[in-house]
This record gives sequence, structure tokens and C-alpha cells, in this order.
Amino acid sequence: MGVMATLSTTLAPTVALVRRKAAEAGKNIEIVECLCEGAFEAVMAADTATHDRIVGDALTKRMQGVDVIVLAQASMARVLETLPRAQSARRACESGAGCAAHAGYPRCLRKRYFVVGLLGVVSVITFLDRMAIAVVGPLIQGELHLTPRSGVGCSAPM
Amino acid sequence: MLSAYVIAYGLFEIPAGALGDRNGQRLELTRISAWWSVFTALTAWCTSFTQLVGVRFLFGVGAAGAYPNASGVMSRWLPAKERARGQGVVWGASRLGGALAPLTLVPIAGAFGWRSVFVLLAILGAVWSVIWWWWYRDRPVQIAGISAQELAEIGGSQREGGTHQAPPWGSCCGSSSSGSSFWPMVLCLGSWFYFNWFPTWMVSAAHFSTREMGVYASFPFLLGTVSQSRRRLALRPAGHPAWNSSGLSDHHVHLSAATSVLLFGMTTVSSQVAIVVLASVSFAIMDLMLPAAWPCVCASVGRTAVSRRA
Repeated sequence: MGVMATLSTTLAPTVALVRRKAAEAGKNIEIVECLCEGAFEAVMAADTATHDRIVGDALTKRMQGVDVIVLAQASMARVLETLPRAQSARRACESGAGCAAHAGYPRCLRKRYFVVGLLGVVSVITFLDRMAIAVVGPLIQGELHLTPRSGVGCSAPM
Repeated sequence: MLSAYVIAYGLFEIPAGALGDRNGQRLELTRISAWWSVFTALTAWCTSFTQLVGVRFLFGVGAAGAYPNASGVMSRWLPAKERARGQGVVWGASRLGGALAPLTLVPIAGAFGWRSVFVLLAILGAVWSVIWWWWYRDRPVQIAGISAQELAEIGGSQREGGTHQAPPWGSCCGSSSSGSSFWPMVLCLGSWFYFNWFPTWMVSAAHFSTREMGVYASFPFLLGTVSQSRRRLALRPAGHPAWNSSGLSDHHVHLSAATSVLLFGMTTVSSQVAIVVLASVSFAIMDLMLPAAWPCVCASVGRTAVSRRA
């Protein structure tokens, strides 16, 4: 069994997890460890092409002869799309044979959803602001002795 | 006073969007929300018509650019397949804000006075700007705690962001058989009525009490939220046979005509129930046009940008 990761701090615990689960199942397995050096730094620098190249090279050259490959980080799975015979590997990944990292990463905690949430909040606030003078207009008219001709309201096209 | 905000908003919308392209949306959205919060607060201290006009004009200067910069944020942070959903969240939230305004602000104004409303909204805006500046980063890779998995999911959109290019005014203003112009957007401008005159009209012309207005003025926006979520009903891709030679789809023309008839009908009935129903349905139909109007502009800008690079 091959275990691949882009970080040593991920590789070691994943290998330990696989060994423990194999022992619990009474299986005797041989593990080939593969650290894709430089791939994590590449993706953190927004260079996904270099990340994909490093992981792809490791997958095709250093994992030959293994029966099953575990990708310790789900982000590595994107590389499968670019490789030949990727279909069978994808099926294995989707069926839960690999990609253990999926389990520890709830969708709701993705940072981009917080970003969209903050934009939604400011969208609510800006429309409250825009309409405030219109909905309290009758009160302003009364206190400042204005008429509707003064246009007590404010707007935006949409 | 009514026009002061609109003129300022119109004048500064494009420059504020361009500033976001140049300086990043972290800085620009912080500036926008802080600016509008200051002038929202100052509204509470106005004691004359002239002061209100000046403050609302400057409020409009600050508020301009919020939505263009929000779109810029989504282009950096969301994968292409999630951007339409992101736009739906932001525009749906705007209608929610419109619905909440009469429901919440009228009771607050009744209890604490109208000036308290602007102080409260200024505090909300200021708090948002602090959170945004403190937490948000223009590049996903710069934000604390983001995982390599999410960076990979965001993919190519986590680049530095696009460079600013001059708008292709010719293709935006001109007619096109593919429907790529901003003229469909013009048909949506009737919503202007709802954002400013509708509450005043309800009280002054239709004889609703202020308390009744505080409830029923929210109905059009609640239906508008539904329309925003049903955008597939209105969307037809550029190049669809329904787009006629003037760049307006038959779909838009029909919806616009229906809106006009309903608004005219609203002015002729005396029943308050009928007024609320006609106003709400009219606004909901108007909001069905808006999601389809945006792609017309995008088609113009995008096609021109692509041809420039080719």
C-alpha cells in the first residue's frame, strides 16, 4: 500500500492510522511512504500547476507496484484528472478507499463560505441604510417641516 | 434630496470599482463601509433640508462601488462553478435588507426617534468594516488557517486578481443581436420607486398609517427575494433566438410591460390589499429581469476583453 502526502506532518500520522487499522483488521500490509517535497509550498504560493506536476510525477514513478494508494490530503486528488487510467483511481477515492483527509474537513468551515457570508451581511446593511431615510421619511417630514416635494427618500437603481 | 444620493451613487460607482481592481477589495470595501457609516451617523444630526441633501450626497459617494467590489471578491475567492451561487446569496441578501428595513426600522424609530435609526445603522456598518479589515485578505493563500485542500479547490481564481481595463462603452451602449448591452438593465430601473418613494407614497397618497407601512412595505422585497432565487425563469443565454435585434429579449419586453401595467393598476385602486398585492407582484416581476440583465453587460465586457487578448 502506498501512502502519499505533501507534508511530513501529515504523512506520519496517516501512515500510523493505516497501520493501526490494518492491525485491527488482522491484515499484514507493507506500506510505501511518499513525501511530495515542494508540492505544499507550491500550492500555498498559488502555483497549482507545480503542485500537480510534483504529485503526478510521484504518483506515476514512485508508486509503481503498489496495490492501493492513499492520498493523505484530499487536495491531491485533483491530480488524478490529469493521469491515464484515472477512472479506476477516482472510483477508489470516491468509494472511500483513500482520501482520509476528506473526513476531517467539514464543508461548512471553508473560508470562502465565510467570505460570501460577510458579503451577504454587508448587502443587508447597505440596503437597510439605503431605505432608512425612506421608511422613517414621514417622521423626518413632521419634525423638520418638509413636504414630499422635497423628496424625503434615497435610492439606488438596484 | 431624493436625487442627491442617486446622482452621487451613479457618478462614483465605476471609479470605486476601478479602485478595487487597483488597490484590492480589502482596502476598498473597508473604505466604502467606513465612509457610508460616517455619513449615515451624520444624518442623525441633520436639522435642515440643505444638511440632509449634503449628507445624503456624500453618503452616496461612499456607498458607490460596494457591489462591483463584492463581485471582485468572488472572482478571487470562488471557483467559477460557485460564482453564480455567490451572486445569488449577495443579491438575495439585498432584498432581505429591503424587507427588514420597514419591519425593523419603523418600530425602532417609533420607540427611540428617527435619529436613533441612523446611529444604529452607522454602528453596524462600522463593526462590519472593522471585521472585514481584520479578517479578510485579497488572496486566499494569505488568510490564516486556510487548508491546502481549499486552496486547490479555489484553483486558478486565487491569482492576484484581474487588472483593470477600460470598459468597452461601444458594445455596452450599442445594440446587438446577441443581446450584449446594458439596455436590459435600464428596464429594471423601475425598482428605484420601491427604494425611496414607495413608503412615502403609501403614507401620503394611499393613506396607510406609519405602522401599516412598516409591515406592508416589506412585502415587495420578500417576493423579490423569491424572484432572485428563481433566476433560471428569467435567464436566457446571450445568443438565444429570443434576443431581438435591439439587444432586448422578448422576455424582458413582456416582463417590463407586465410590470408597467401592474404599477399603473396600483395607482387606480383604493383597496389597501389590492395596492400591496399589485406592488409586490410588480416588484417580483421586475426582479425576474435583473438576473438576466447582468449577463448582458458581462457578455459585452467579457467578449471585448477576450478579443483584446486575442
